[in-house]
Amino acid sequence: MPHRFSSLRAMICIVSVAIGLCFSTGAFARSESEIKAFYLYNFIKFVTWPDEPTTADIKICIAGDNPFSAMTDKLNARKVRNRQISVQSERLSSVNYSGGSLAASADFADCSVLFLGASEENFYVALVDDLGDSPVLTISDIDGFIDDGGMIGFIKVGNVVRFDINLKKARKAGLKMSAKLLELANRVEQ
Amino acid sequence: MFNFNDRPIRSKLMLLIMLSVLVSIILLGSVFVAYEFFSQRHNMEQEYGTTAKIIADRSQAALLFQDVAGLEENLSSLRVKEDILAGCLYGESGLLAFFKANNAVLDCPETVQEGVRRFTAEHYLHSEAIVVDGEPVGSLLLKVSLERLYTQLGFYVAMVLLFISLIGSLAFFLSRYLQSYIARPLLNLTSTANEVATTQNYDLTARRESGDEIGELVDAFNSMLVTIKAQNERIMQNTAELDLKVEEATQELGQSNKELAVANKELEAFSYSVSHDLRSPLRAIDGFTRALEEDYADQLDDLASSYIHRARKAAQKMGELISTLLQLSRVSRKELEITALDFSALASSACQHLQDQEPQRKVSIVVHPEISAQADSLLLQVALDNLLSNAWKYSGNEAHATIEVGCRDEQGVKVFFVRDNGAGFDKAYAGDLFTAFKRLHSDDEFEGTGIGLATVARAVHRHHGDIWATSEIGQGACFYFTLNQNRPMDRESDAHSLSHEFNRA
Repeated sequence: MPHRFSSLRAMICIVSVAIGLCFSTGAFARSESEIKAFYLYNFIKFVTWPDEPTTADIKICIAGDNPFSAMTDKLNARKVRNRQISVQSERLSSVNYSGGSLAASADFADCSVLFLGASEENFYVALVDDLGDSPVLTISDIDGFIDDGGMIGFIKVGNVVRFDINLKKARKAGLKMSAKLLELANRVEQ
Repeated sequence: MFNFNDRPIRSKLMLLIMLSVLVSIILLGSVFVAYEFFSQRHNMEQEYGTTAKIIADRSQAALLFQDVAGLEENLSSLRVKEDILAGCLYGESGLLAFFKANNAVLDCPETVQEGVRRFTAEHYLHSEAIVVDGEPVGSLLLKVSLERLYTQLGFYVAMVLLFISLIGSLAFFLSRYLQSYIARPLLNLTSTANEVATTQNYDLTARRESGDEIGELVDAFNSMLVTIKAQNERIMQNTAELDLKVEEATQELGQSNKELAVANKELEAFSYSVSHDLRSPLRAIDGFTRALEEDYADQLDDLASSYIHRARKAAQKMGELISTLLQLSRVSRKELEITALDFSALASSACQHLQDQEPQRKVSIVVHPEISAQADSLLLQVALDNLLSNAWKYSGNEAHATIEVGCRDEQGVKVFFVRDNGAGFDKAYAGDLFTAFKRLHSDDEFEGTGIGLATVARAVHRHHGDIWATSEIGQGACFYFTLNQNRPMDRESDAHSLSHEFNRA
């Protein structure tokens, strides 16, 4: 169910952009991938995993093209809830798993966050199916990602990067999403 | 100028009560208002701190995802708080979103400090950091109008004022009623005291209305009145007794005076009649002895003639004595007729008379001119005659006899004097000078009756004057007298006032 105020909010934002207050100059200077990386990092703050350990690293796995390669170091330097973030992008492309290897999907089940690059557009559905109800936060900017079993999908409203959430799927996987995050979503599926 | 000391005691009491009550409640009211003011401010800090925290918390995600619309929606919920004029939300790069109340002017500063809790004259500024996962990601600034605070405070002040005026008027009426407990007994006492002071009526008593110090004062005052009254009565009694005694004494004195006057009069009458009646037998003796002397001179031997001569001499002397006694009596008895007299002329004519009687004597007489005197003419004349004849007589042995009559001013007192350079007298006997029949010289030296100076003194004293004399043997004598005036003080020691001698006579 789309958020009630989404269109209104978008309008306000556009107006705000128009008068130069929506984003400060620094924010505008960022590229789309930078923004997405930043969002990725922020999602972690509003999501809690079942039986979450207090010290182990938060693994962010990137399948396919890595759009954040320039920011990998920056992300690696960050912590959330006192847990170190570690980005792993040396994964094989999901193309290799087109046969539906369970072992491979088990590898991804070890990740906390799985970002699927645009190169995975043709294979992501099988991958997400393979993950099943594993507590892995799946994120992608592929169109229709959340309708095909993904949890958070980046979209673009005009010039602005926004996101949709499949809350139903996240709940099934045992992930808890903060209401604050849900409030901000363009669309929340539940 | 308002002088508290001169106010009536009623005003003082009321003023004291009112002052203490008003000061207390004003102080109390001020403390309450101040407490209310600070407590309201504290409440504001708490209230808007909570509000800011909620908004900040709710804005975390929106801030992280740069969702300005979400932020503004969050901020717009500030609208329910009417006092909030503006809310400004800052991200890492500056102002991101704002809220402003209707009619308010937006004035979000460029940047904001952390943890601001500041009251200005019109606003309260509160800033709250927005922290996500221990990381500051922005801050929120609230600007709150203090209008409600002031309105509430104004209401509170009004209530306190109302309270003060209520209590003040209550205190006024209470103190008006209560002060009379202290003031009324005092006022009663005062009015009684005033009445006693003006009417001198010591029978009044003040009514005792209380058992406190004022009551004691009333008792003390009443017993004082009783004492005064008793003393007054005693004084009055003593005065009456004294008056009676004085009257008695006066009466006695008057009686003895009268008796004395009668006795004096009788004495004088006696001496006058004796003197007068003695004259005719004396004249007979003198006449017959003279007839004997003249008609039988050839039949009498020398011894008989000498006896008869001596008898005649004695008779003449007795005649003289009687004359002078009569003179003294006259001087004593005559009614005074005081007139202005030419003293110089009187003295001159007396001297002339003496010179006429003994034309062979050479006496240099000096009478100071233009001396006047207020006196009875006969008495003054008698006095002058006696003094001058004295001077004439006692200077009789001098080769160059001198007599001076004059008047000089001594300390404002007119002192008349008669001076001679004759025999003088021994000042040791000066006390007897003016006593009748006392003589300092024998008849062999100077003849005399011993009454002349007594007569002079009597005349002077009848003029309420003084008489005294100075002398050394062989150095002459000077007689001084005053009329109607006492003798001036600081006379030399050998001068003698002899008034007491005559007062006794």
